[in-house]
Amino acid sequence: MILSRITLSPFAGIPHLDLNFTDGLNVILGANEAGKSTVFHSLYHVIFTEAKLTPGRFKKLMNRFIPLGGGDTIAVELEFKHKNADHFLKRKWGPAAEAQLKLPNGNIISDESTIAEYLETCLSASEGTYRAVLMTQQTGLTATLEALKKEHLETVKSLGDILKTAVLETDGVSIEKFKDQLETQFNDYFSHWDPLKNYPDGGRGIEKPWKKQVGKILQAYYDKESVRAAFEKAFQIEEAIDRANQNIAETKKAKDDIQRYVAANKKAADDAQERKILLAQIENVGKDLAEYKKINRDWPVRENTLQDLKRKLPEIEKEVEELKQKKTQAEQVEKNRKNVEKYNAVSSRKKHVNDAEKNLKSAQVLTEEDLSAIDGAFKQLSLLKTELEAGKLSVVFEAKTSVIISVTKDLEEPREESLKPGGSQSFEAGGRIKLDHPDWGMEVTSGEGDFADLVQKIDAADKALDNLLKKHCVGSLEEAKKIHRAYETCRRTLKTAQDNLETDLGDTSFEELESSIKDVAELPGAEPTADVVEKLVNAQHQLDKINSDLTQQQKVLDEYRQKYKDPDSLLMTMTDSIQKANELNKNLDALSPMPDGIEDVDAFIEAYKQKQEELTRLNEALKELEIERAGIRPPDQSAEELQEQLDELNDVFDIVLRKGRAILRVREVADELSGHLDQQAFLGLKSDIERFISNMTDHRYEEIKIDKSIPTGFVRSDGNVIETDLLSTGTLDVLGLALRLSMANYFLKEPEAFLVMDDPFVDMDPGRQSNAANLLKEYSKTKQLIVFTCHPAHAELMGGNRVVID
Amino acid sequence: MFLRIFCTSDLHLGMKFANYPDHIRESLVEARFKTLESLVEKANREKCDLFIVAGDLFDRISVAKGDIARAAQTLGEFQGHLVIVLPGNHDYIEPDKTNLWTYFDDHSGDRTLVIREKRVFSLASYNLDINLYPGPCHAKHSSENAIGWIRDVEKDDSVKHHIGIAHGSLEGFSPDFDKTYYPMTVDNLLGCGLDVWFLGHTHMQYPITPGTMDHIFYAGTSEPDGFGCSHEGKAWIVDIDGAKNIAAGSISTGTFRFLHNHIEVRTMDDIEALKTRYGDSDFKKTLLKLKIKGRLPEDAYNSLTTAREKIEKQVFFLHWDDSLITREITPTDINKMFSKDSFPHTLLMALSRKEEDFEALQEAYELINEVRK
Repeated sequence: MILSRITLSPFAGIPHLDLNFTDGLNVILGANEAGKSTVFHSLYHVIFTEAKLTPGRFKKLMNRFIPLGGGDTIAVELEFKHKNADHFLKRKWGPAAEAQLKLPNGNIISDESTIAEYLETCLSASEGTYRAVLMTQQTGLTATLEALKKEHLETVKSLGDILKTAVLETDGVSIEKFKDQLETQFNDYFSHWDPLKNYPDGGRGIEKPWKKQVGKILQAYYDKESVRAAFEKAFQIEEAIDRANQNIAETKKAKDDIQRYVAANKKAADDAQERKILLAQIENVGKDLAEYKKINRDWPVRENTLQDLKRKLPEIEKEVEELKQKKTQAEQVEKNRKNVEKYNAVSSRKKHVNDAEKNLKSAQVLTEEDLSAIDGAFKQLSLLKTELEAGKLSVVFEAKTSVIISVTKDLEEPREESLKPGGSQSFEAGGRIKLDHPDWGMEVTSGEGDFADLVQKIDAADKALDNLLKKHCVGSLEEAKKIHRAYETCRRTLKTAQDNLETDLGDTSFEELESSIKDVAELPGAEPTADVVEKLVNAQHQLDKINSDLTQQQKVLDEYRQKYKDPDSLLMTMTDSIQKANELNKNLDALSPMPDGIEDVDAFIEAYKQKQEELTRLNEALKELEIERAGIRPPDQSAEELQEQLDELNDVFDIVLRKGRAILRVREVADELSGHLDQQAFLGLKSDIERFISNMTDHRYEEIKIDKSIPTGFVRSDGNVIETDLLSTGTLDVLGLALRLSMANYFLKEPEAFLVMDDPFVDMDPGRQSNAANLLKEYSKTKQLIVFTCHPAHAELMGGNRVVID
Repeated sequence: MFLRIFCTSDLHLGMKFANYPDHIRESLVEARFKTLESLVEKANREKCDLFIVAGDLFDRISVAKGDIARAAQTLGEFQGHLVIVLPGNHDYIEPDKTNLWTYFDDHSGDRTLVIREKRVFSLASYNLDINLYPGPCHAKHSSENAIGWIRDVEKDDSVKHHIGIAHGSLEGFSPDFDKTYYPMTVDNLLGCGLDVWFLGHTHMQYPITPGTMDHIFYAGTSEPDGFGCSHEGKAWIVDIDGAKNIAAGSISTGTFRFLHNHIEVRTMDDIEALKTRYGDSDFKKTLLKLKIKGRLPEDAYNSLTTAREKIEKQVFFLHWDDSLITREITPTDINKMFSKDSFPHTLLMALSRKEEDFEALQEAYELINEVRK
């Protein structure tokens, strides 16, 4: 941005003023109070202060520029170039506030934020940079340099440090002071508070609190924890009181219940022992009386029964005798009947024996031994034949001419074989092969044994077998076996029939049996034995019972007489007992009644005793509980009220902790930034500064000498260091101006930029003023420079476009 | 017989208000007694027959004797037939002990009846055709309500009115998450077969808009006691006619109100609105807990103190919490205020990059301004 023209209409004490600027150097000359400062402020505000302000901001920022002569509106117009094109900016503050930016293309922007955004693109630096460096009286920079004079800053070791400090503290904020202040704040909040554990240092809670250097967080923590402890204590006390009251109420209720019982049943308990004795007596009398009544009823009954039994006894004895006779008779009839039945059965058996004997006699006899002999002969013959066939002979017969031969193998019949010339035939046999031809004969036998002897044995065996078969008139072994089986069957049948007969007869012979049934006669009217026996058993049982009853009744009656003499005497005894029972019951009725539902006196006495003991125990317990309750002091504030306080203190703690954490975070970020701020970044300024100083000192000084943190002198071009009072005001201004121009170079990278300065060399000696003026003229070739001064001589030195304010 | 009943509860006389400044605390403590006096005066003006305190007349069992005597004497000023005081869970009856109610009795007239037992009280001797069925509290906490005995009690038909009085929470209405404040349900209450129930414990009035079918009434506290109790003080005047028709009228009572407001502010206009929000004279007796939050532009932020001072004058007591208010500091603001590459510029820019650093940004800004002064 290059400024072309500014119009104040009105602004502060100036009703109307137009000022024109050119590229390069502009010197605004005006006496003190002529309005230079007003122009300076109007320039600043027209660029940076929006027209529509809240009342508060208007009051703070613009109120002092309200025209003294009247009116409530102030207005400034600014013409400027950006990218070599003309722009027009107008701002009016007050009730009729408005802002307007006219662009080169004729468009007009009225929206403040759009205007601000546009202006930002026109300006080479931010508002803050302009306010601190590019449009400021040099106080900020000078203050930094003054500080070097007053304070021995350990961190400032070189010109780089100075420059770094100059840039970092451009806004008048001392980093050291900031850090000190931050540390103070941090300590205010975090003293004795461990941010990592989020708990008091050393774990010292309210039970062992820190007394000194208690930070805000710790204090808020102690405050809330104290109330929390009070709340918990109050809650516990309230619960303890509740429990104590509950115990007392329950104990009291139990005590009252028992007390009522004990009181209500005291007389009954007192009478209980006597009741117990009376009840025992009444029970005994009752038992006696019951006995008397029973005997009284029983005695005549027994007498009658005894007489009745005595009357029945002869009849039943007679009946038993008669039944015994009938029984003997019936048993004889039964015996006869059984003998007849046995005889009939045995006769049948005897007939079976006779038949079997007949069959056996008619059967062909072939015994076991006979059969064994036949079987043995048969086996002998078979053995010999097997022996004959057991050898192995093989004969091959080859015929030269046609021939018919007879071939006999072993005992087989001969057979003929016909062979053609050249043909051959093999023959196999056990012990012999015999070949016969009408012209010749040949016999081949095996060398094992004598074949002829064997044949002879076979013939002998065959004859022996044949003889045996003929002897027993059978044709074969199979037939012999069949006849043998028939013979054996007949023999076994006879044996079985004989055994059956013998069994049925037992010890008796058939003849004896036959003889015993010859004289049996029928007994008319005889009852079956079983019926007679049953009647006899019943009659005998009846007889036994009557005898037993008679004995028993007599015994009881004897006892009655022994105890009570006679029924009349018994009646008298009974009457005495009834009177006694009445008397005892009367005494019992006079006693206090037992509790409802209780019958057992002993149980009542025991229960009453236990209730009395329980009452004593509960009275003691109640006293102890009341003492315990009296020892609990109710809380001064209820748990609910303390809970409300605790909620509020929790909120306070959260607020303080959050604030503390914010400070902690600032510290972290500030520390991180300090570590990253590299002074090398600013060393580019050093050559600028030294060049400017060299120019302002006629090239007498080429460098700045730094001793520790203090610039102690300028290094001359010949290398000698001139120990000057470097920090005299005039020298300081040289350094300040050099620093200012260097920083302007640092911030204003684009050529279309302006720099505003106010009396830059007021305290310099004339020689340096001239050099400084030359320096500014030189500088204004690269940037638009607007210099305010009240010194015509300085204006004269600088030249440029002079603007005079009257 | 027409019956007019005045019902209040939860006066919590003797509450200490320890977390308030002295002059506020004294006013709050005194206000509760003044409210009781005004309740009795109101009941007298309305010619009520019966004055019921449904529990927690006192804040705790260890109330100062002077306060007990003063309460007893104040209730003695009631000109109707009878004052019935039910011990609640804060001023419960301690069994078999000389306690606040013994002392209260010593200073009460003949027409004040403290209910100590769970039994039917015939009020015939006070010329009231009423049988009273109370559920007095015998401890601060109880998971069982005190009205369980009433359901099976035979109701005497010769008596006109059967009135229940109890103290505890009501399911669905009262906050009692652990069920430790004598919890009751509507079924519990209606199942007792009484004409009407007067309840205490919950500080809010119930029902909110009574109808002819309502038979359960919470008076609510007649003098609010904290920021958890943001409604006005209330009491009931209940008429019961010969046909047992019920007409309940809610009356506003009490001196102070507690208001807990959370307000978000973003602009100067919001701050201006805040300044006038509590301007009505009604707020002169309001204790205001004002929690404001938001990020404010510079001028609005700077006017917070003025706003606070103004509101402090408008209300009885102001608990001001602006801990969640921060100055709105944007990168544009930082560029306007600080020179590029300067320490403040660098620091604030670094803190402005992360949203979660907004409080740190605020702290840093204030520290920078302090150092720059």
